[in-house]
Amino acid sequence: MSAFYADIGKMELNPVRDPTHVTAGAAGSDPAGAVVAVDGISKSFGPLEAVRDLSFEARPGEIIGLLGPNGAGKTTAIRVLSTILPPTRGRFTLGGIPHTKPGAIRQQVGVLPESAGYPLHQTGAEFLRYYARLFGHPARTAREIAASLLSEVGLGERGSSPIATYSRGMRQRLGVARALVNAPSVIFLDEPTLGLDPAGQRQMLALIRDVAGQRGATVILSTHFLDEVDEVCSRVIILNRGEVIAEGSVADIKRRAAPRTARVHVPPEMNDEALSALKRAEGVANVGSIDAERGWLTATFDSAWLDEHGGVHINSAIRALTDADVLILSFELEGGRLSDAFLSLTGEGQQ
Amino acid sequence: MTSLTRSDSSLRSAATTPANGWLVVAQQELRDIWLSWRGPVIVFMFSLLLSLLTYLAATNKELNIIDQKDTINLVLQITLGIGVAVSLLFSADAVSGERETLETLLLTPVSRRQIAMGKLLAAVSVWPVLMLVAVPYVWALRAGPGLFANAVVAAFVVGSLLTAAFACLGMIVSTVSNSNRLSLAVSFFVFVVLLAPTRVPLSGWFGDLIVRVNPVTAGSRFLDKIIVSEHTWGQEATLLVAPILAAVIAAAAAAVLTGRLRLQGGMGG
Amino acid sequence: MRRHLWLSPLLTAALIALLLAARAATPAFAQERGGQAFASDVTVSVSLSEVSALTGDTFTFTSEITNSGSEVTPPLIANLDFVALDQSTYIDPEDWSPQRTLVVDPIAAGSSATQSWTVKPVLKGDVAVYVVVLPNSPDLTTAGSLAASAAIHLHVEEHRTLNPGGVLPVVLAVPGVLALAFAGLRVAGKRR
Repeated sequence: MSAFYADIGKMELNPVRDPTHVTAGAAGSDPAGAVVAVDGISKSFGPLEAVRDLSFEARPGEIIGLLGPNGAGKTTAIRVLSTILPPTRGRFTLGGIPHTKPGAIRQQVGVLPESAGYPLHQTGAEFLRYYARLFGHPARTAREIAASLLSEVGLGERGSSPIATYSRGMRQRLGVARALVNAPSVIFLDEPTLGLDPAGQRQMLALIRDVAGQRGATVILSTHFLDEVDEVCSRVIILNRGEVIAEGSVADIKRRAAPRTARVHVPPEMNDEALSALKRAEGVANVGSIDAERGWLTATFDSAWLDEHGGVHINSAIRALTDADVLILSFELEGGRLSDAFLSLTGEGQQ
Repeated sequence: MTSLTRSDSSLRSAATTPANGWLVVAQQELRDIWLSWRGPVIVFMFSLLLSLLTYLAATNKELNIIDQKDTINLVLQITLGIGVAVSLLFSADAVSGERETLETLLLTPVSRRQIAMGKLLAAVSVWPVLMLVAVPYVWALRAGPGLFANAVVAAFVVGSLLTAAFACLGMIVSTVSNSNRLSLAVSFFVFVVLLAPTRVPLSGWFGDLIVRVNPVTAGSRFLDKIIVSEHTWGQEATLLVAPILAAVIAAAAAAVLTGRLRLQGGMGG
Repeated sequence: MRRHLWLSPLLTAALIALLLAARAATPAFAQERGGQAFASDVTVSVSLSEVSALTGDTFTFTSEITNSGSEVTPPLIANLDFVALDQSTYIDPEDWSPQRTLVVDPIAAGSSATQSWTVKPVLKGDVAVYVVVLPNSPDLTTAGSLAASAAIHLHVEEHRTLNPGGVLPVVLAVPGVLALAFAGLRVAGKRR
């Protein structure tokens, strides 16, 4: 039984995944170097500084998550990097092209804006043909590109229907197709799963993975949904009030909010035994009873001990309970999730 | 992997700034106007109006209540007024009325100015169509070959100048305005203010000054003189100065200001 | 006889003087007597008494001004007038005739002058049409200085035509062609 719970603990406490898709040969970039290089970008609207000193780099094939609460500056950052808005300060290059050449940058990037509107009277195919032509493709090539992209995003059979008849999910997929019409080396997706049902979100995330993996494009994904970042992103940038407050791999970010508290449920008659066992467990700094009549306890771990030993050593508490023959009805860790790190870093969990 | 993905490199190298981005924009905007309901409905309603007007005018012409030349002048002045007004409203709606789809358009390598130019061209396309529709009606009023040709050419010239001026004005207002309602209201208000003096008898040196300075009254008076009074173009050429100046100034202003087209209205960089 | 010879030039001169004075005195005489002399000397007649017409039809008639006096008339003005007998219809004479006023040269005594008038009724109803003659002079303050003809009773019915001026084909065809053209464009656009 101890081994069983240990296995569960391992599964829960080591959720680190690294979904990085790095492919060589993305055109328009140095495979060994950054395809996106942002240095101190700031954007002000009068007295309001929407983005302040944003700096990061991205390599071909990376999927970078851009996280932040509402009003953090994610959309503004994307608009600056996609040349919709000029930066107030700082500089950046995309595919080696400096921000002072916005026309050339636009040839290299694809963007799915958060509030993208669609001409509802046009068909999906017509819409994509138009944008292919705006990117310099002749009419015939534009038709081929449109057909291919519609098929790629799963709209092959609805290409000749007016966009007005598309569902929210279909329009988002059409938007992704439009962002791909110029085969960009960098793709900005601003809230691509917003408004989609769970199935739609799954499909969208799969599409994003394919785009980065098969095309070797760098994807900057702005989203509220932390599970998405957890699932597809290799790196995370967390913005709050226009500033970068955290940056790193998903695992690094999670480690900042490593689980420090466990919520334990035992049979009520074993409440005292459980308390004693937890007090003796290595690394446990504090034990408390939440609801003695129902058998709910908390155990808080020592931060320094955790940092020294790593998250897996939370198993010591489980081992202490099993050694004392206490029946564990549930053992829940609080913290260790990206959402916990996010809330902790942005201070929203404290509001 | 799709065939597209395999040919990514070649397609990426092929993706460039189109040489005539304004033409691509204009073609799509023209399709949006003429293959949807907007343009055809306006032209059809206009033809019904002209049919009614022509029928009534022909009845009155037979009774000599209205002189033939006055009838033709009336038909062409109405055509001009409607053509200018519709072009103005289309251009005033071109940017401010499409802010939702504007962002994706601004993400293309086509310059802001070319985007505006393409939209402007589509907006003024209604004018020549209305003029073409009016031609058979003018002919049916039995003007006689000499008066018919002169009247149609004069109306086309004046209408083209005024359409260019007001469409550019509408585009400027649309570019700087965040609200479509405001853009349409301001544009139409300016048009009405300039149109109003044509309904008021203007005499004396001040009245004459107003007539000549206001491109709408000047253009209207030019048509009156050419069609009704049968003056020559040379005699009334000074009346074309205001419409020409208005078209040139408005076009120059539009060329400068639409280069600052951005997602939110205003003139910031 | 010889002693009365000096009388004949004198008499001749006196006679001439009298004649000239009488000639000059005739208008003065007429003015002194007012328009009665004019009214009684000048008469106007018209060639029609009753006319039935449709709106838009044109008809002509003549008026004859006769000077039955012993003196030549002054220059005259003949004016064509219309009165709607139902009193509710407004008649704008300019719409009904291109000739509003004609100037007539002085008419010698015992002579007459003829004028031709064209009328095109534009409204239905019953109308009295008549000609008024008056001296072409700024001084018309004395009564009786007008001479009027008898009225022509003009009865007008409305002329109904579906195709005034031949415009009906255009009026119907243009919207029809446009509707077909735009429908065709729409179908072609959808097919593409």
